[in-house]
Amino acid sequence: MTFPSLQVAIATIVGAAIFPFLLWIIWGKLVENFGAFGGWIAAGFIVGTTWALNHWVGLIHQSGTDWIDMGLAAGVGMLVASTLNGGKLSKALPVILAALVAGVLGGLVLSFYAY
Amino acid sequence: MKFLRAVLGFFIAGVFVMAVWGKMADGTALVGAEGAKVGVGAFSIFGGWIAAFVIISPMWFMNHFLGMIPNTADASFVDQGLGIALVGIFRDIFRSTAGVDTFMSSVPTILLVVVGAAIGGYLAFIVRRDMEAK
Repeated sequence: MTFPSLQVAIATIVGAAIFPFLLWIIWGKLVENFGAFGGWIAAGFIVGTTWALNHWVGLIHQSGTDWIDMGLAAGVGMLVASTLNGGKLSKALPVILAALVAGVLGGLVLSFYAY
Repeated sequence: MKFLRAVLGFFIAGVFVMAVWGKMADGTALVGAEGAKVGVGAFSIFGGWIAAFVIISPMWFMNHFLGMIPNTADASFVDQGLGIALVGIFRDIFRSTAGVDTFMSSVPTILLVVVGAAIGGYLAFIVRRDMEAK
């Protein structure tokens, strides 16, 4: 377990902060304005563009061999924002548990497939 | 039934992203369990937008627009990204012969991403609240 330099750590924090920020500010409004189509645009341009920043350019530094996806930032950031917005964290716990179960099962299946 | 719905939603989204996305972009986006670059993608950086449109869009439509993942209005919102990230984390743990060391080596990134995400979520909340107040 090796921590990166302060500069790289800050870049990682910033990259992780930008993703849920854009999701919270933009996504809902696009859906409000364009319906489901707005969500498709949001998926392409928020996730695609932020992926370029975080995983192609690599603002999110990978400290080890276990891939840490920016989806983690989406999960944590949206959980924080929606909780501040009045959502009850306790009511989300079963859904979080489901994500964990799905993570183990999905990871297991993909580990069977060598590429 | 709601739990099964949630597991299926996270599972399908996670498997698609963690199996296909890297292939669409480049080997650098898809690092094998031993740190080796695997596969050569076709679309370079543009593969990210293609993958976002063809994977994230339909998965979002299923999970969050149709609501297969049962996020209720009075509960904190759990984004499909959480399941996607967890599939990636467990994929590399199961694939690696290093076992738990694989996970431990990436703990610094996990901590930094969680801190950044919390800051981003907090900033987004106060910014949107201020914008809507006007």
